[in-house]
Amino acid sequence: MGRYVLRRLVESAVTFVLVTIVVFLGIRALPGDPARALAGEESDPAVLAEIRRSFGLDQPVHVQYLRYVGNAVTGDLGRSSRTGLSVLDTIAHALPVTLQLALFSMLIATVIGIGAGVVAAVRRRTASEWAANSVALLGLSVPNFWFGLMAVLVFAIAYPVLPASGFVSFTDDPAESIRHLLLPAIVLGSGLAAVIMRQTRSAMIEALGTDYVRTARAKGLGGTQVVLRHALRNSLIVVTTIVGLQLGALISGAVVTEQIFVLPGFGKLTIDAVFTRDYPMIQGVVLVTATAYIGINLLVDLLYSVIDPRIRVGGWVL
Amino acid sequence: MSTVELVAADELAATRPAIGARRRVMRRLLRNPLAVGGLAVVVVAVGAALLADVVSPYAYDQTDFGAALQPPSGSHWFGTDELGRDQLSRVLFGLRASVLVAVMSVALSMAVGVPLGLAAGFYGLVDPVVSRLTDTLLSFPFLVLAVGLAAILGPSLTTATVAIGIAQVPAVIRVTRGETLRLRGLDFVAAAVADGATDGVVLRRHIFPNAVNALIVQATVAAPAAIIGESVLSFLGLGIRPPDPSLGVMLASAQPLFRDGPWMAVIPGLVIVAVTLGLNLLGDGLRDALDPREAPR
Amino acid sequence: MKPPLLTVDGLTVLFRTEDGPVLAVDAASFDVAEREVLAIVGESGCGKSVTALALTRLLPGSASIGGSVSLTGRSLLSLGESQLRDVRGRDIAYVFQEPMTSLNPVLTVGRQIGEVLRRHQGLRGAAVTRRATELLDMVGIPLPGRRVGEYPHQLSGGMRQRVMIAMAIACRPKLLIADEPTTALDVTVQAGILDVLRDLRGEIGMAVLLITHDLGVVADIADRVVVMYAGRVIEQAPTEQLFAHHGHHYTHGLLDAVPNPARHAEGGLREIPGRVPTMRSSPDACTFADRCGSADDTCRTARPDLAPGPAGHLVRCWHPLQPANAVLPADIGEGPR
Repeated sequence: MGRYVLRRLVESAVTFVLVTIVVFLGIRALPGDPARALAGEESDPAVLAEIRRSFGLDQPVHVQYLRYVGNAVTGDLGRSSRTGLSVLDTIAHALPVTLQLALFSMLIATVIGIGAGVVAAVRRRTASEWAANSVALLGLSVPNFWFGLMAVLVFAIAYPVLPASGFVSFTDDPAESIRHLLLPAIVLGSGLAAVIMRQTRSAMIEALGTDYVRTARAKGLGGTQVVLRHALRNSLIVVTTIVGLQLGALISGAVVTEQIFVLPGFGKLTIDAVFTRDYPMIQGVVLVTATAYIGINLLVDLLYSVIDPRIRVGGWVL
Repeated sequence: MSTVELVAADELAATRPAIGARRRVMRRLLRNPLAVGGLAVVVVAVGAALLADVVSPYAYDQTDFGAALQPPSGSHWFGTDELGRDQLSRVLFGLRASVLVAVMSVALSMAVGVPLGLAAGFYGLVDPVVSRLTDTLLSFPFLVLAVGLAAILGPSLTTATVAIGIAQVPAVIRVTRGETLRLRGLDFVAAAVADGATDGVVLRRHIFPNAVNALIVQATVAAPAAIIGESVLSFLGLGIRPPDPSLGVMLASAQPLFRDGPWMAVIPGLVIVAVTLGLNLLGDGLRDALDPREAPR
Repeated sequence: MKPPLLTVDGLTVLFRTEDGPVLAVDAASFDVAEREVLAIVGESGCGKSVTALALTRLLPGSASIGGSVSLTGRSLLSLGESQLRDVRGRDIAYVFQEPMTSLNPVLTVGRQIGEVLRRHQGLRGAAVTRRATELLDMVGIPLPGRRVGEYPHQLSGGMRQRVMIAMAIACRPKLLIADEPTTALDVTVQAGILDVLRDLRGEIGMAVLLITHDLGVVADIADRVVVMYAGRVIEQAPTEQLFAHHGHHYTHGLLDAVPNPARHAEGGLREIPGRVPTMRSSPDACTFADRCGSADDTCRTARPDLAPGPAGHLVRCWHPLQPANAVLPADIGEGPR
């Protein structure tokens, strides 16, 4: 297990370095003067010269890169060219919103997805399976944002039951928080639920056809026990990997969902930054997202090794 | 012929796809009613979209203020928007843009991903390098990537195509690499190498043709995602921008007019759902038809 | 004469497949006496594994099972699913071919053995681990106390198969069904597994239904043999008699095909021309006719019954071999014990 963990850590570190290089070069790839880009609307030559100096833009590229990385690691991601506030602070304020949305979505998606997937796998060739499959297919085919628009249309405008926008933190008022987050979470989680359902179903079907399930039946074990203890446990390994891979899609989806439901989260911050050409903010957002993604993937892989003893004991490297 | 050569020839025959296999796949696909339905929807939609110039009743930017904000009717099957533009025509042209982006982005992802995947699966030294590159790409979620590209290149159809294409590259690499690794271990490749074939020949004539099936499956997954991706990007303003036609743009401009003209938001979305659903059903059917485990003995 | 432990009468298994029906077992009938080792032999695809699984309805839903199966007089096929579950693992236990895939990779060996103990004997807690360790010891696994907490992938193939056997005998079943238990193992490990089965048969007093295509294994351990072809039972005899005085031409072909320097050095290996057919229905003919050198029109137009042949045991053939013609020079494997 130690070998596996070490290997994953090294890989993640290398990826992180590559990511910082990409993000750094991204700004350099912008057309025109980087100082102007970093300054935003400002065009006063004195200010531009100051920016050039403080960012070390007259230094060779690799020195600039090291400065950038050095700053980033100590928490200095620069200042927003729009608001002048620290990029890191702004992001830190927006993250909890997105985190609550993402966690809520994941909860809904996992519960519905795994539940439906198991039902579909166990009750094959019945109406339940057909229904579950159809709903999953729809979930995959409906664009997130359109679903959001329709949800707002129905639940907030046509039959005003839930709010169409606004955010209340769970820590402040759980009931109101859920009320505001329910629609966005369902919208955001629907695509993920569909993917989870399909993966669970196919992994379960495969597990139910394996030799060891046959052995379990031959031992006299009953249906539910066989399903849960043997088949589901082995299926969860696959499902965990898939969920890990889908986190990126979840972050993408959050961007759109926050736009539609006007949630002051990370995603909305990103879009606003693009349209106001707030390059330091864009750079900061991209870096934070990528870092979080690497971290989460690493966590998922380590979790994987806990669930699957073949990796944990015996140092198997897949 | 000695027994050894006899065995090799038998195995060669068993592992190489027979010519009749493609026809058998088509037959199995057509036996699946859902897949056929999906195929029909896709053909109709794509056909209409590509022939938009000929088929659409109005030009997509033709305004008619007297007929503004009309619900679907005989003269305007999908209704009109606030400038009196015919929604059906705009949908057709928007769909054409979606199809274009889908096809080009999938092609781009294959052009970049397949060679990298082949190299990674074939040469052990290249593998970790390609894996790190893939991980790096995967660290940027699709919209974040699109945001970055839009900032650098400015929003446009090309930007959307590039963003979607690049986002698909890791999946293509993973599929190609997986197939290459699997095929590399099979006996017919060893036979070719023993016959003196160069790496290039082995990759081109033996490995790649047998990996095509998996790539087709990948394309059927990528295409609907690309269509949705284009609409998301243009909805957010990161892709196609008005006055160019796009389904996402239509949905964006429909948002403030929800109460006055709900059909403007509902219909383009339904079109996206229909085409995507058709592609997904077709993809599922293809996947089942290509599955060797289901093949009759 | 004690009544047989297991009576199989007219067992038929039909599969519904994408390409039409497949008749895997065609009216098979045989008995297993208490404490006896009965071997069912045949090539791949003859229906022997399906027969074994059909006895406790362990087949997928696409299978239709007909005929009757009785264990100590009690009909199994007419039991409800939950009653059948009581029988599985407790009265009839299975050992399968592939120990690598037949054990759940994410559960320890001890827990998997424990499942049987919990289910049928109601053991709990430490008693389970204790008994599981005892069972591992019984099947000859060294350091059983340590092994009981290990996972399948940490054990060798032979040890995994011993674990399967331990799971099977945990409740001292009346009948152990072993489906090709040694096929996936190295030859050197095979003998060990057979020894374990033999010893346990004596210790527990169970009967063994052994499915195999390896005639050496049959010669080693079986008391009686049933030969199957294309879903039908075509010959039944005590082991020695089958090897020395078999009646069916297919049996002759099988025995002749076992490589033997004395017989094959000059002319090369013998094989039976053609392949085992996949049956869709039960034809009114001998299913071996088109591969048999001695087939005539009767064979092709009328289905032979399973009847006593020239040597006294049951054969399904219109023209069974006379005892004199059935002799093969030199023994096979170690010969019958």
